[in-house]
Amino acid sequence: MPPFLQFVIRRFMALPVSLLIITMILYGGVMLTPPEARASLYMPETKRNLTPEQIERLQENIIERYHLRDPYLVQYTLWAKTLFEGTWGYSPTLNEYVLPALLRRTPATLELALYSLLLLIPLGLVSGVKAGWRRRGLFDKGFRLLAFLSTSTPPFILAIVLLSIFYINLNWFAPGRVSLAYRLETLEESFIHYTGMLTIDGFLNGRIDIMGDVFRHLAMPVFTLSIYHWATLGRVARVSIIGEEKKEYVIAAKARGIRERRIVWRHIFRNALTPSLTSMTLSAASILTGVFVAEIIYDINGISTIIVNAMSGVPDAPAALGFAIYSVIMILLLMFMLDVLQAILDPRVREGVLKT
Amino acid sequence: MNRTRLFFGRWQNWLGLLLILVYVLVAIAAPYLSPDDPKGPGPFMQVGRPSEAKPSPPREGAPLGTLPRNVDVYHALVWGSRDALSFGLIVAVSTALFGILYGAFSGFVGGRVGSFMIRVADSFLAFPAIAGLVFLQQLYGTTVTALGGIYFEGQAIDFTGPASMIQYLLDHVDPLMLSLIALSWMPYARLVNSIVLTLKQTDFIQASRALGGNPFWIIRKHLLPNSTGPAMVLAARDVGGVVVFQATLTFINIGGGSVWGSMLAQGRNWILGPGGSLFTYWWAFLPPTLAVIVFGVAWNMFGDSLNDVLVPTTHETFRGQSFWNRKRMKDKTGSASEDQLPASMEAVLPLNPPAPVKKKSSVDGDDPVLHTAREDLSRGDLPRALHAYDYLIRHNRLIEQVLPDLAQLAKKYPRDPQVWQSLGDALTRAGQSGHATQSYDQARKLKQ
Repeated sequence: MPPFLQFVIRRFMALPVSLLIITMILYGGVMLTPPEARASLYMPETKRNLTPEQIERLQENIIERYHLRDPYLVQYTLWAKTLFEGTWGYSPTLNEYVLPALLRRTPATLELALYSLLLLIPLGLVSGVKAGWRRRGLFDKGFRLLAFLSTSTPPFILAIVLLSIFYINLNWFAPGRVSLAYRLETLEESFIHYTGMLTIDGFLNGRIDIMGDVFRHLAMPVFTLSIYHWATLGRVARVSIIGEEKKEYVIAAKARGIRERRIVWRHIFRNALTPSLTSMTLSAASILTGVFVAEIIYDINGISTIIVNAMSGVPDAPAALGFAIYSVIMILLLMFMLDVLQAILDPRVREGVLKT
Repeated sequence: MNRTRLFFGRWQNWLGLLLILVYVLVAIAAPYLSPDDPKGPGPFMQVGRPSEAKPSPPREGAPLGTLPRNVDVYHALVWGSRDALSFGLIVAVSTALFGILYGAFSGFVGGRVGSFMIRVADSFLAFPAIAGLVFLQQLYGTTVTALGGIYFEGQAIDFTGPASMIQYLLDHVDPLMLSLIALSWMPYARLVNSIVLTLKQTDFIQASRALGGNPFWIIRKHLLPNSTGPAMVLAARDVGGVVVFQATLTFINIGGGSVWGSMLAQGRNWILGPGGSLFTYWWAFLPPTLAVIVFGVAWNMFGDSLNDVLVPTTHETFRGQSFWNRKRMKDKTGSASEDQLPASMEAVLPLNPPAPVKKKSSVDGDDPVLHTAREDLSRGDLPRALHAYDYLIRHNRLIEQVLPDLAQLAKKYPRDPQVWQSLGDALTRAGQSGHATQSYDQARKLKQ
């Protein structure tokens, strides 16, 4: 088997282990509550039509059936089984089962995260490398100033400033996911949802106008998200470039008469990738948190609406738990993708020479 | 006092400290700067009718104007800094303590248990704090309602049921604090773990183990003091980070209870005045915005300055006694782990300034031995030059300068075993044992 495939499989096998550890800890949190509260994780849809006595009986039934007074491991195993069976509990604030609600909202979140990553990874790497190669040069100074400014502006403050300038005042961009008129058109039968991501679907349906409108709504959140993480990534790339020019392989390349541009982008660039992408992997959780915050501020109906609902209505443990597990899965997948990207770009990683 | 000189050598360093001192002073003097309203204590003091919908400009009794509903901006700003400081410090210190202990313990135990512990820490990396916060709050709410109480806006109302664990916990600790502590200790653990793992191989730890030192004594006496420097840098940056995060969550109404975040949420509709002017109602959003931003920047700057003082890789003052240099010389495992540590450091400390080599190079140019070596070379006297380089390598001096010279020599005289031998020595000194072995092999082949 080629080493790359081995790496991917080995890395993929690590995902369930992490998920197991996290769900065990999460259920440990659930164990802090009394059995009556735990029963709400299994409450069926019909709860609202019942009298208080009936609800009490139902609660007692659930406690019996799912052994909610038994030791932790018994409960955990039963609960973990229900995770695979599919609905993740009924959420009273959403009035539907948690898993379908999450899945339905995924494309919007994914779209936002995808465009942000597509923008920030190349930009961060290229500008960091450029700044690091000509250290103390004009580009480096500009880069450092900009990086300083963008890391010290909290994204939510940037977001409200952008909203008041570009939406309220100039009306160039808009919050939300898509304008109402286009939203109604996407609900029509003739509009086929291939991926759920409206930019791609709009393109595939031949509706460039819808695609453009969605991009108009995406511009501000994508910018808010990428500018912050761009600076962090660029800084790591910059630091990992500094010091490379004295390494032997660079001297050798120079001695062979290779042009500088080629040395930087063909030889040094690849060596700067590993620490940069590792830092991205480590901050994957904060990237996704940023996506959620951007969604809430820019009023995008992604998966974070679930927690907004849960916070404002009746207590909703199934939704909160489902949201936690779902975001963990998303982060694990993001980390996995970044690791694979790293392995594609850096042969040392996939051959296990570097331990990451 | 080198540390003091290093600390005050850059203006960013003392500026960071100065700004933090301002916040600390304001926080301590809050009761004098803006006395609490005896009728309604708390950071949000009303100075007029609560029915007023518009923010009003600075006036007598409200030096920085008011938010909508006549909430005094100055009062909230002053008392907010008290909240922010205590929140940030409590979270950062407890996070750091837990992470350091976890990392030191897992590193010290090592083996399968140690790597399992790090595995667990890595799994925590995939858990966003926002989900933890919502999860805890919803558990609390569910408990309250399941036991017959009413749960409204994060508070249990009219509830006298039997106490459960979660209630006990959340009545004493702010849920955001709890979830931040539970979900941000991993960088510390990873950092300390990797430092301890490498330190464990050093002679002085081996010696104290051989002498029968109690493991906890070794951790406390040798391992912790050597690994807290980088962790303190992280902690200083975390103070700013968690306060900004708290303000973010309060702003989007997920919880957190940040005063500044709440001020921004109350004033957010007044950022833009009529005609698109950003400054018509400047007092409604500028003070809390600046408070949050400057708070984050100050702690970041302070972290950078601690980095200058406490993390010895970034400068040359601690040469000879720092663990990094010791490790570089003793490291037998090859360049893989050599690369790994600084890289992971950079990953957690993205602001780490690059090693300032400028000062050193001006000294190097004057080094007499290096000078002779280069002069000998220019005269074409290879054996004498090599002799001088060997002297430098033997005394572990200026390896960074010697190494490229020798590398070029090796390209120039690829058939001279002596050159390869010296290159190997220099590479060993630089900790690149893999390349060193190759050079030695080359030298041996050429000698035969």
